[in-house]
Amino acid sequence: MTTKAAIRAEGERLLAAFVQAGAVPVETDLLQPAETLLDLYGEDIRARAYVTDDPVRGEMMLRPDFTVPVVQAHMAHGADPARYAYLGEVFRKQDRHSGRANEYLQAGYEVFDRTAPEAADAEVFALFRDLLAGLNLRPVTGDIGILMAAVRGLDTSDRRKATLLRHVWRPARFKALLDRFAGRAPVPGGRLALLERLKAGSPLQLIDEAGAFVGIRSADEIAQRAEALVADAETPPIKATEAALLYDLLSLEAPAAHALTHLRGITPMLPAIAPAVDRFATRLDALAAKGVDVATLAFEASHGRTALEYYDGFVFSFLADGLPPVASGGRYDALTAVLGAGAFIPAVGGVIRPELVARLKGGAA
Amino acid sequence: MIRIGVPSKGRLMQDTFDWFGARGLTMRRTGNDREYAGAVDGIEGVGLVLLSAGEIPRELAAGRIHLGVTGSDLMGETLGMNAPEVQELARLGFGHADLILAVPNVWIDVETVDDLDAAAAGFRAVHGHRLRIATKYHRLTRDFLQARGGCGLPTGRQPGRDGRHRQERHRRGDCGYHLLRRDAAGKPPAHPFRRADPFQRGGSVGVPHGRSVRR
Repeated sequence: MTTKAAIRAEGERLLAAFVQAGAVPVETDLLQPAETLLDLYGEDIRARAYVTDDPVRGEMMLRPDFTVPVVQAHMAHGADPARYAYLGEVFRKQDRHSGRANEYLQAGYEVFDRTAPEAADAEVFALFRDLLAGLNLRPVTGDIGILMAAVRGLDTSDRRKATLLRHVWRPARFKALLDRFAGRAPVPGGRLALLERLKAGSPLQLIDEAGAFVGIRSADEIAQRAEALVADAETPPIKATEAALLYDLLSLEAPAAHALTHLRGITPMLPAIAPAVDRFATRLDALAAKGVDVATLAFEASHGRTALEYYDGFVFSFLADGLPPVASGGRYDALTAVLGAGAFIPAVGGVIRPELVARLKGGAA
Repeated sequence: MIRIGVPSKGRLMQDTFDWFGARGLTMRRTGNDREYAGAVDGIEGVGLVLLSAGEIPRELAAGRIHLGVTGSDLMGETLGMNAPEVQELARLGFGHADLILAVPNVWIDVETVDDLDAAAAGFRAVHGHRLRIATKYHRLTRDFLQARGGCGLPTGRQPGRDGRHRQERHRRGDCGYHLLRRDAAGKPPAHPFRRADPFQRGGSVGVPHGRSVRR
């Protein structure tokens, strides 16, 4: 068994390496406000955070991750550009018998730099690769930005695009919605009955007939959505050719250089992804300049779709069989805007789990 | 000594006593009403432990009791489905209850979990906070929604402890996932809420029904 001391020592080694790479070590509070921040993590972490109640400060949670508080601190009073490193525990509820830890150390590195985002992506990835060398890990990369650009470029209603974007992180629901919007799946029986009912009268009249009004969701909100549902039923399906390109994109798994060729090939038919594909190409150049072999580096367009919901560009993981990801990270430009009250800075970062590194080293010895 | 845990109060306790009584074991409370003490007659070496039905799953898993009578909803909620420490021995056939996802009747635009998700997204945009589901069944609710592709809803960060509390939450704009006890005629009680997907179409509810004994 890997001892806490060995894990802590591994964490200190990683932290020192991050500082050596130019990062300023930072600390964050263990107790974080839950009301505002928990929303940013996505469903998985939201369900697994330890939330408690403080009569003065409201709902508080045990830090489930460092990135959000680090971004918050940076947006409040950070230098520009900046690099940060941290080492500390994060807390997540786990299912019984999952064998996963409820509290564990994370060592992380975050880069806030607006000059060359793709170079920053490559910097973080290459640094992690170097620190994890010899552990026989399998790196996997992805790019949420290409998926989001493809959805935004669809020839359909804004409402449908917004719905798909909201569910990028829930692959099953995303697929079901896309199937329906593209006319591949029938409209569910419940929805047909609902549409029939809605056509039977004006929404406000139907609400009135439904009995006692309860809740703060107002009659106007209900009526607006009812009208939108009827309008959506009239929306023509997403064209089969366009939908086929999106399905193709979702399932794209190839070595990165080959994936780029493929993406270049479909860009004329899905022009909205062109800027994102250009950024992908620039990133591959930057990775190659750091000595990463992009001809073999695994790229999966759907990678990161079940991870943290704040990632919106490059994503990566370093994986070992039978373990949670040993390291993972990604770009989260939009998060800086959300926490920046108008300010914005491109940012990328990632975390390594010292416990898993120590365990792999122990096994190798 | 084999320790058997049974619900300490009301209808469930009486139904349990009757069930065992029909099989030749007499269970009874001892002492006055405020003491959770009991005894079993008709068998040697069995001790009766009276507990809240909600505590029984955890006591079983911890090994402090060896047999227990409780609801399969409480088993699923406390230990998760198919917990390895416990095993269902018999369905007792009383205390039936359905878990339902209920939305206000006036939400004429909500029929399925898809609709609920869209309504929740709109609600959040307008009100600046997420729609909340009032429930004391966090795990079952989350599992239910996740099995339907995820809904982006937080579940019961402040669980509804009783009907009044739930009603209060509903007034604040939330929906509920809660236990609906049927009355003697098998009819659910009237209230200003109705079932959302998939209950109206009679599909599998994906959550346990009824009550059962587990070891």
